[in-house]
This record gives sequence, C-alpha cells and structure tokens, in this order.
Amino acid sequence: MTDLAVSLDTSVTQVSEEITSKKKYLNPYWSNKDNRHLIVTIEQPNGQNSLASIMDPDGTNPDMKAVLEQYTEEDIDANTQEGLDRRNENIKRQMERRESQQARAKQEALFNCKLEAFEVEGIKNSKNTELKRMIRKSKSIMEVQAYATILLMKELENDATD
Amino acid sequence: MTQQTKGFVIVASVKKGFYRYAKVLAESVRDFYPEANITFFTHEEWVEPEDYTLFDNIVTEGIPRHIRAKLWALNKTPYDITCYLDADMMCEHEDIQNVWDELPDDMDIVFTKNRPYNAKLTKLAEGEEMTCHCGFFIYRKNEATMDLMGAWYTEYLAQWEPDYDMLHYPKDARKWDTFTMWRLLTYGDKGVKWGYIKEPDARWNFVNGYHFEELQGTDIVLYHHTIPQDKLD
Repeated sequence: MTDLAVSLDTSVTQVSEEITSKKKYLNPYWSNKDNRHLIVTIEQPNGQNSLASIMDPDGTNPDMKAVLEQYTEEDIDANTQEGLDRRNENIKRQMERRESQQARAKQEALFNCKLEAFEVEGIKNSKNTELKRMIRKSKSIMEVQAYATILLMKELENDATD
Repeated sequence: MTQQTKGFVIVASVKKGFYRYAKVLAESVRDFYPEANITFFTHEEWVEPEDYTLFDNIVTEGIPRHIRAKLWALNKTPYDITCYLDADMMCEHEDIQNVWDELPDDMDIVFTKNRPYNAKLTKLAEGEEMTCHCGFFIYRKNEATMDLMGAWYTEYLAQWEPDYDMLHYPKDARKWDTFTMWRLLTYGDKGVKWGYIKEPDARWNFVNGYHFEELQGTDIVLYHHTIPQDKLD
C-alpha cells in the first residue's frame, strides 16, 4: 500500500507584499460591505485573470490593502452600484422577453382557435355575417368558442325550420 | 373627376400554404367588406373554381415561382389605389372599409412602422434603420410609384447576386425585401412621396408579438401571423 502513496507538498505560502504589488486589481465591488467582503478580478503578472473573493473582517488581508491602494471606497461603491444597475437592467430585459414570448404564444393560440372555428363547415358556409364577424373580433379563446357555439346552434335551428 | 379604383392585392407563390392562407385572408376581408375589390396573384394549377367568387380578379400569367413574387406583382395592380396584404394576415374589423383614408392625398405610399422589439433585424448601422414594415402598405398608381415597385423586384434579385456589394450592412439583411425598399427610399431617386400611417398604425398591421398598448385603445383591423413551416406545403 505504501507504494501508492504520493508525496505532495501541501504547505501554504503566505502572499508576500512583493507578489501582491505585482498584481493588478480590476473592477472591485462589494459583495457585502458590512462584512468587508469584496469581489475583484486579479490580473497576474503573466497576464492571466482570475476572479477572487477577498474577505477582510479584521483589516489584515494584504489583497484588500492592495485593492484599497488602487481604489478609494467611493470607487468601489460606484462599481458596486454600476453592477447592480446592470444586473437589474438584465433582469428587466429578461422579464420583457418572457412577457413578449408569453404574449406571442397567447396571440398565436387565439389566432389558431379562430382558424379552427372557420374550418368547421357549419361556420365556414354560414351566411350569418354578424356572428362570423363576432368570432373574428373575439379577444379570447373563450369568446371564439362561445360565438362559434351560438352560430352553430342558430344554423341547426335554421336547418330544423327549413 | 372619375372615381379612383381601390382594391387589395394578395400574392401566393412557391408554397401552396401561402395560397391556402391567402384565401383565409380574403374570406376574412369579405366578411367585413363584402364589396371589396381583391386581386389575387397565384399559380394557375392551384386555382379552384370557387376562388372566382372569393376574388374578383385572379392573375396567373407570368407570375414567377419566387418567394418574393409579391414584388413582381406590385406594379401590375389593376387599381388606382392599392392596399397590399401579406398572405399571412387576417382581417378582424369592419374599419378595413376605411383603409383608403390612411393614404393622404399628398402621399404616394404609406407604411406601418417596424417595431424593433418584435423584428429580427431593423438596425443596419449607426443612424441607419429599416423603419417601414413591408407586409402591409397602401400605394397610389403613378409613374414614380410604379417605377419604385419595378425597381423593388429587380433590386431584390440583384441583392442576391454573389458579387452584390453589401457594403457595411449586415449579411442577414440580404434576404429581406425590407432592406431593398429601405435602400430605394433612402438612396434612390424615384421621387416617391412616402410616409407612415398615422398612429395607432399598429392596428392596420398588428404583427404577432406586438404589445397591445400599441393599439392605443383601438381594435386590431388586420392581424399578421406567421405561417408555421409545417403548414407551408
């Protein structure tokens, strides 16, 4: 079993001031300002970017210190507000798109219902223009069905009296 | 002064579904406007005897088997004032009888406005936007307008040529006849006096997906749907 053991160096390296100073911090914003919790994109000296979460409840985190050397708290507040506005705008747009899709589906369903009504021979061939117009003007499926039923009943009555 | 003739033009080509829906449209127009003049451009082999009671004029000679056969048909209208209707529309109101009032005396052609929120493509470039919906419009027969309609077809065909220069415009615009009309109206020299139907214009061409607020409390006169692909053949 010992042959399977892999030797790993699991020691933790403290972020040195030197490493911190070579990093660039981009677009920091508060995740929770009261808890001093910040989200920031860190650009490494090799150009690679990574999204980092910095928590600094006791004011000792070197990354937080470095961020605050580049940005004022007002800058971070402004970034936070901008992000919130963007998110709200996206939510609003998504809701509008969803509402538009729902409206389209509803309109299509109503149109298809009218088409189907006029495929019924008794309605298609009816001379009752008034009721045919009412079917065409209907604003809901229920209305289409109600007028279609009335028209067919009248057609049946007419057939019976003929 | 002689009375000007007024009528609707409907076109169905290539797919028989367009023919079937064109009849649905014509029946709906007749229900609200029994004395309407309706000319139908379609293929001879599709025409059924009862179509001659629905349409008062059927043109089959020379109609191209082309998805935009409508552009070919427009300058062959028999009417002094024509209301062109896409085949995928349905009439829902008796105000259709007053559609002619929407073309002012000082205009040659009027359109409803495109709604960017409901269109696949309207913006072509900064400051250049296709604003006319080409599925419904009313036009006057005169030299300038007939010339415009003729150019609409030939230019649309040219737009599909491989060496056609799309300039800085999106490639997607190529398939839209709206793009052709936009170019002709914006950069053409036909001298056509064109404009928009006054609001609430949406009631004359209420495209599926439009917001009901667009109607401003009025009723839909013409509803514009989309024929599902499986119903086209």
